[in-house]
Amino acid sequence: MSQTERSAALITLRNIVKQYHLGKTIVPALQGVDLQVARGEFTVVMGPSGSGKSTLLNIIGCLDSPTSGTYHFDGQEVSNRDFDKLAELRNRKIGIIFQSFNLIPVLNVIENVEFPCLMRKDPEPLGSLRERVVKLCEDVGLGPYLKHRPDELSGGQRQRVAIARALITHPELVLADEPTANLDSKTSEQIIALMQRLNEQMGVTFIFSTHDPRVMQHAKRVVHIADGKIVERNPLVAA
Amino acid sequence: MLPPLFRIAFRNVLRNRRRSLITFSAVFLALGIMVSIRGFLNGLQATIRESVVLGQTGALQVHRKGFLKSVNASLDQVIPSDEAFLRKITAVSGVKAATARIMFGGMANANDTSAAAMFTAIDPVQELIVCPRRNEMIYRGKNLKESSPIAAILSPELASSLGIKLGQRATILTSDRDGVMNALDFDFTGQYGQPGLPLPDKKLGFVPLAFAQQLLRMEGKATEIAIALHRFEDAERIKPILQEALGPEYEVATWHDVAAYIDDAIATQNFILNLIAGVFLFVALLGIANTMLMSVLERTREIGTMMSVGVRRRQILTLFLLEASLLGLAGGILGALVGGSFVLYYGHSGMLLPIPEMPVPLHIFPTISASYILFILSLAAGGAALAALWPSIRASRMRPVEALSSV
Repeated sequence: MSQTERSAALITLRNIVKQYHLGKTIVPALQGVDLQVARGEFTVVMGPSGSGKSTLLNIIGCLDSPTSGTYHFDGQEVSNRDFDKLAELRNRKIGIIFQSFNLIPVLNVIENVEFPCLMRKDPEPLGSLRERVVKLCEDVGLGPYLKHRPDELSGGQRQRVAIARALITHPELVLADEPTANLDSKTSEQIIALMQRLNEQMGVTFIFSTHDPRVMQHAKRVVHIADGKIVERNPLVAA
Repeated sequence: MLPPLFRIAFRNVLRNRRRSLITFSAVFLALGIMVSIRGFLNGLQATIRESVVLGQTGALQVHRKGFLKSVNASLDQVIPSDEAFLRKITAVSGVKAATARIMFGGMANANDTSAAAMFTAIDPVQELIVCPRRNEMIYRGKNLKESSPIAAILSPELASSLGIKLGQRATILTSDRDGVMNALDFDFTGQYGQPGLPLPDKKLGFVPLAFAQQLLRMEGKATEIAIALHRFEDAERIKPILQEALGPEYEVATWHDVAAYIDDAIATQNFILNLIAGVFLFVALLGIANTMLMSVLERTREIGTMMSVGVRRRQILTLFLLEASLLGLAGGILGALVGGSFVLYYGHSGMLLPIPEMPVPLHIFPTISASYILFILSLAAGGAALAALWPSIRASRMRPVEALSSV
């Protein structure tokens, strides 16, 4: 792979297969997925429940490893890395946003957002980190809630905390697994708009999974998945 | 500001307050009891030690070589009891005083009744300097210092077998070093009982040294010199110095050597304490292991979240071990405080411990050392971490995707 290709494609999946063993039964979750995602893309992975969206995102997010196939992130093969190296990759280059927010309940907004940076072997000085965290929180509309714990926030506010936590490490990729599934339609619109704005302003690559057709209208690219296979790539859907 | 893992651990301990409180209480109780019992035993053992050293053996003893190993301490194995010999002993640095004794067996006779008994002849004045606790052991009547030169103090068993009461006269019959029988009358002036310790031989009597020397025709001689040191803990250090000063025909023994049964008794007490303490601690640590296992099961998704933002396995392990250690340490600190307060209070006021069949109750002053408190706190924190090791390893070994899909 040339330097030009490497810089253009942040993610390259080749013939990714993922099988789960349920007792003696083998359940195929992904059946030979090939996918490239370029830097700065705002991609939506669409498909019905059980189609393999979450499995695909888990593999892209290095939370799970494929049964076979290769996965290159930023030009580097990552599917055979050990736990700590993958943890390092997730910490520095990948931000993940979950459907159910997944905040740490004993930490307040600021502490939740700064948490990934503090878990590094070489954490940045707390003073400058705090400054960045506060600025980012204000940027995503959490200014008045900095000292609130997750159980004192609404669903939309919690998802904003999750977005800020995903972005604080200056990741190259942000994955969002059905980020609006637990939100009302108005809040969903706001969250999608926020992510779109951050994608445009910061140039961060976003990959969503959703089965909500309303989200599609914001995507620059839509990947349809069904039965563990990519059935349609549409890079031309206008935002 | 606290490091982030420590902050999370601290807040997690407070998160499920009821469960933490139960675990905390178990550790608190275990350590409170351990510190209290240790303090009580320290006091008891110090009292027993002092009772032996200051009331019976002295810190060091001098005998003719071979005396201690001989089956029947013979009157042939005598040593001088004159001033010059005693001065040679007291000239050694650290020695406070020395006193001569004779141990001998004989028949006591009164009211047409005889009883075999062991007698110890003591210098009525010097003995109270070397073994001041002797005085406390007279629980009825007078000591030899305040009595006539032919007075005797008898154990309750000897007095009752002779059927005599205080103030009555009796006779000692014994043979001297040459095997010639001799007898002398004595006045029963005091009754003897040893607090806290069973008497090695229940039929015992004490007579003045001069009285025994006349009875046994051993003027200027004794079988034993008991020695008081300024600090009885120096016995082992001073023993070889004194041995050097006296020469090879004598043997110097510490109180450990002559009353080895005390060390055995203390070792047995310590073993039993450690066993009880171990059981208490084990139960408390089981509680911690259970708490941590529940915590890991409840927080599986949270563990997945941490992994998703790049927390490494070792950090997850550290977090759960920290939580367990905090629980152990917090319970331990309070337990040590309460147990320590008990020890301090009774260490100041003392506690009287009646012992069955002992005429004088033991007066115990519990003590506890800072090093024991530190040891027990590290044991609580370290033990808690150890108890939580398996749940913590389990947490750190989870696969992120499985942890995240937990409900």
